[in-house]
Amino acid sequence: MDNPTTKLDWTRMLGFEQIADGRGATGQAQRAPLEAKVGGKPTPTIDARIGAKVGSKPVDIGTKIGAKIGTKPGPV
Amino acid sequence: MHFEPSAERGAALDIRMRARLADTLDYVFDEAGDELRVSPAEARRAGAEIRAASQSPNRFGAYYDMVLALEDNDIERARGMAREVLIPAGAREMRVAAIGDRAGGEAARYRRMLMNDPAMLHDCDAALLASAEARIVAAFDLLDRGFPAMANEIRALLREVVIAEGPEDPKAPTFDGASSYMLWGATLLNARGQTNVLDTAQALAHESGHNLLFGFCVSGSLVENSDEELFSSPLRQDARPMDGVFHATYVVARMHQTVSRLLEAGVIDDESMPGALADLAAHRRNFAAGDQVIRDGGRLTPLGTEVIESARSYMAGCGEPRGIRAGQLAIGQARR
Repeated sequence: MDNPTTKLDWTRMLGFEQIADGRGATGQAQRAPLEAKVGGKPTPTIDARIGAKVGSKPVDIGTKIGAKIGTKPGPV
Repeated sequence: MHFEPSAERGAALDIRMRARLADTLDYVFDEAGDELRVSPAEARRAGAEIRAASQSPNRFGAYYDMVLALEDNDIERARGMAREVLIPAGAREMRVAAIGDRAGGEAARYRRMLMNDPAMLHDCDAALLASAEARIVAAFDLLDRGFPAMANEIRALLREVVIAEGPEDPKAPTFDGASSYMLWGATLLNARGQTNVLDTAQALAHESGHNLLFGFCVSGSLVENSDEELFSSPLRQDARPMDGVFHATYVVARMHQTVSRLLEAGVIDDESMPGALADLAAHRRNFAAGDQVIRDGGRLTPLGTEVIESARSYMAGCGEPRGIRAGQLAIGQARR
């Protein structure tokens, strides 16, 4: 069976268009959720949580897709 | 681009986002439909449904799960997600519901996509859920009376207001609300995050503002900064990517606009007045702080420039709400 991803041009797909601009940016889809602090102050411990988040899933996925796009001549 | 909310603007963005999803699904099913076991007729039907009417945020989420499963070469999971994408999911009216009030897979998706640490999200007990739902109803009533354009834009943008409970421990990391690009039309509110109707009205303006920005940048980013570049944010103590600072700054202006219009309309009661004035002053300070970070470090796209200029123009021109006395403003400023 073919691997479907070899057929797909991610830059034509909702949420992943930014890969097309050559900046190596992740698509909108991989951006972390936006968590609001409407009132009050964030607790100090939130720093650790966000720090872990920035280095984990969203970046991992973006890096993987970015690497894939970057190592192939283009969509097939 | 203008800063004023409107139902027409919200509806237009929803149509555009749905058209992009439908076009994307046409493309994906055309290229990989055989592997995904989606027939051309099924693909055509799904595209037609999505173009025709507002959809559940879950249908967007299922699409993202499908293509990310493909990226992981997990074809069985991608097939399962494709079946979910094909399920009709029209959502003409905005729904307010607990995060657990949906099928198991959908609830898990919402937890995962709306929060980086899903363990922070808990199902509310019945009393807390009822009080949160009542506050949301009252907040829309307040907006309808004092700033109907905002109420109508929120209804046009949001298909679901999702309620969950954050940690009870006051020292634990928590949240007030959340939005995700992958769940277009959904916003999460912490049942413990707001304690009064005015706060809830502001939270709705805030979170729908994130969805508004998602809609603006459906085909491109607001900023050129990478997500690894971190900056101080007006709303959080932790450093944020410029995209997050941009979002926070824009939605702060939207909150200022909301409080200002409610004050001008005379719908803020005496008990809430000191808090409203304090919020107004805080929003002005926070906007200035966030905007300075953007001016210093932001590399904005033409779209981003246009969007933030609309907020700057609003903040520069809004002045203080009509009918509010200087002494009242001083009291509000002293509270924060």
